[in-house]
Amino acid sequence: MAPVKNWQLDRNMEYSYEENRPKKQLAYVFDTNKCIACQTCTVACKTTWTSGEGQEAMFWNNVETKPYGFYPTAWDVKILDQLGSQEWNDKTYAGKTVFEAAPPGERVLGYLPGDSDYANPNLGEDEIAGTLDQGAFFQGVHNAWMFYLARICNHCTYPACLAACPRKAIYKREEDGVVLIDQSRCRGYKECVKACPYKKTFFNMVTRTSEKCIGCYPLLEKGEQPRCVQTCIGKIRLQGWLSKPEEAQPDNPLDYIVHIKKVALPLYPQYGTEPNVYYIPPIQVPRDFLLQMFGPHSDEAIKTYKAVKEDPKLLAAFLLFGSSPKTITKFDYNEKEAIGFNENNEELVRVPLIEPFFERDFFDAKLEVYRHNTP
Amino acid sequence: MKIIIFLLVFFMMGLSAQAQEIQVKKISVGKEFFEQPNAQADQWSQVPESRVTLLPQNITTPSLLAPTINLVQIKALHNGKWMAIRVEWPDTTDDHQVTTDQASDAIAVQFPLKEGDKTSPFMGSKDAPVGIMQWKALWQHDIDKGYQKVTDIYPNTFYETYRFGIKAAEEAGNSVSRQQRKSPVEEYVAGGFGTLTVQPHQDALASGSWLNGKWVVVFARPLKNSDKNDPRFSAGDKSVIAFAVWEGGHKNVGARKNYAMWMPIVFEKK
Repeated sequence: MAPVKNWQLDRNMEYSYEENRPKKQLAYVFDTNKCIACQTCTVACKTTWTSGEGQEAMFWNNVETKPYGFYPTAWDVKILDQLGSQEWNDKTYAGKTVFEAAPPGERVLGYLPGDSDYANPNLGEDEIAGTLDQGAFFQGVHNAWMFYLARICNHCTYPACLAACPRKAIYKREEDGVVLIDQSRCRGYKECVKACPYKKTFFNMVTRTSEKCIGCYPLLEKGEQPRCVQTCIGKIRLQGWLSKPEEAQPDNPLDYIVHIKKVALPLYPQYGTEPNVYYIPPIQVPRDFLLQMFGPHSDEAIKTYKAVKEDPKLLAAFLLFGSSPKTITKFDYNEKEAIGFNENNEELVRVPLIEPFFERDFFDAKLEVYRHNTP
Repeated sequence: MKIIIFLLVFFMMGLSAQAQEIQVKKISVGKEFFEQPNAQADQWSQVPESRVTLLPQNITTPSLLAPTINLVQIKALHNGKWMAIRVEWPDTTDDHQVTTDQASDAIAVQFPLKEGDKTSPFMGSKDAPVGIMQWKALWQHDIDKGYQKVTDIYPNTFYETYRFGIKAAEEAGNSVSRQQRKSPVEEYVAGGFGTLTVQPHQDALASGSWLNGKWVVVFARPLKNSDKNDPRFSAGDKSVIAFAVWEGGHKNVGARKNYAMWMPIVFEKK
């Protein structure tokens, strides 16, 4: 074990290998407030990568309803239950990570799901956290809540799957931080399936190897965003490259959202893997739940998110979500537009900060029809 | 701490290993005896049996904390050109399928490629590699009954997009994904933890069957050949041998196994 810096925990932690950050790190921001669980991302991923034999119940991308949705069943609560106290001293994690809490004979604290745990990917879908009192529906704001959590591999800085593999068949690419299982080297020991606290490595009973999200690296290599990001009709996702916190660039939309405005947060940072999918927390969800799921910056994140109307730069960064199939590495804005650029400083997209408003006559003389909204 | 455990285990196994020696009896049998390994062949009754105690692998992580198979019974013979090893062990379940929560029963036999006393029993070491033969119930089942399909395990599975799918590991040439398997045994070379590598040239044969709570597996291989990844033996030689057994019903896989340290092995001269 080696001491490594985990900025999400604001402390050093123990990891199986020395700190070795890639030249650039694949990262995503998901805005949970905009997700409608249409599963277009899920289907895009499924049809692209996991439509084969042995992959029937395998979803590299899934969208689950929290608090009662899980894929695989109970994946997060099982680990949270085993992890023990997960207190934070202000912004510093005082509990143990999955590496530090590893029991004797194990490299990582984990559990191996059963086949049946993958059989119900829509478990708890659209269920709310509690029942409504009679008549509450008519009384405006009520306390029942739920939200949609879209999940993919986090391409962690300190992957638990990589640490657990006794064959070193899992590697993190130096050029972009994508975490991959070498399919020629894997022997299907399922140690990664057991170790990944997000349960995003899967065993394929036909190839007899473990498989996982590959970050759509063939697209990344062409300067394009992954399939799940490109196809998101709710435009909740932005993929880019995240710098180290101390090297954050204010004109990199991911750096700006994650490091500078701190409005998007890692999922279960207490696991200690330094995951690289960052979530804008759902604003309607009780504080305790958010603190457990997204860590101690949740309050500020929601405050910043709610004030986005007064922050044109943050608004500009948000409006780039779903605006281009290309990876936006740099952005700018003026009083009218957000502008996205690629790594070569070429302009990719312009998005109006406020959609233009058109008022049209009720009667269209050219087509000789009345315009009206069809309910 | 690990070193202390290592030394303690080495010392204890050394004591028990001294008491035993596996005799590879020379018996006049033809090549076909080895080409179609048969645990029930009459010749085995002429061979003395050795009992080898197994320990749970807890030298390195991931570990097996408690043993799942305690003992294997060994018989070995050679005819001057070929050798065969018959291994028998109790296992209440025949585990020959793999899914996320199922693992296969398996056994491996290990020889040093250089002199035994210089080679680590734990997958060898960089300068002193080992040759390994592994048999799996899963592979035996592949050959006897056909390659495991999803519908063998979940008969009601319906899926209509298979034609678009790929089998990445098979396309990458990974031997564990090979659907046209011809043998239930695979030969490896290793030089330390995590270095297990499938040998480019496969020379071993094996056959195994489970009956009444017991596995019996027979391995066969030439005593010597031109493969630099294989051990070379002659009548009269002394070497060492080690074993590993996986109990699929307890999800034993990879490093989570029961193992025996180096045991002396003598190839009868006559």
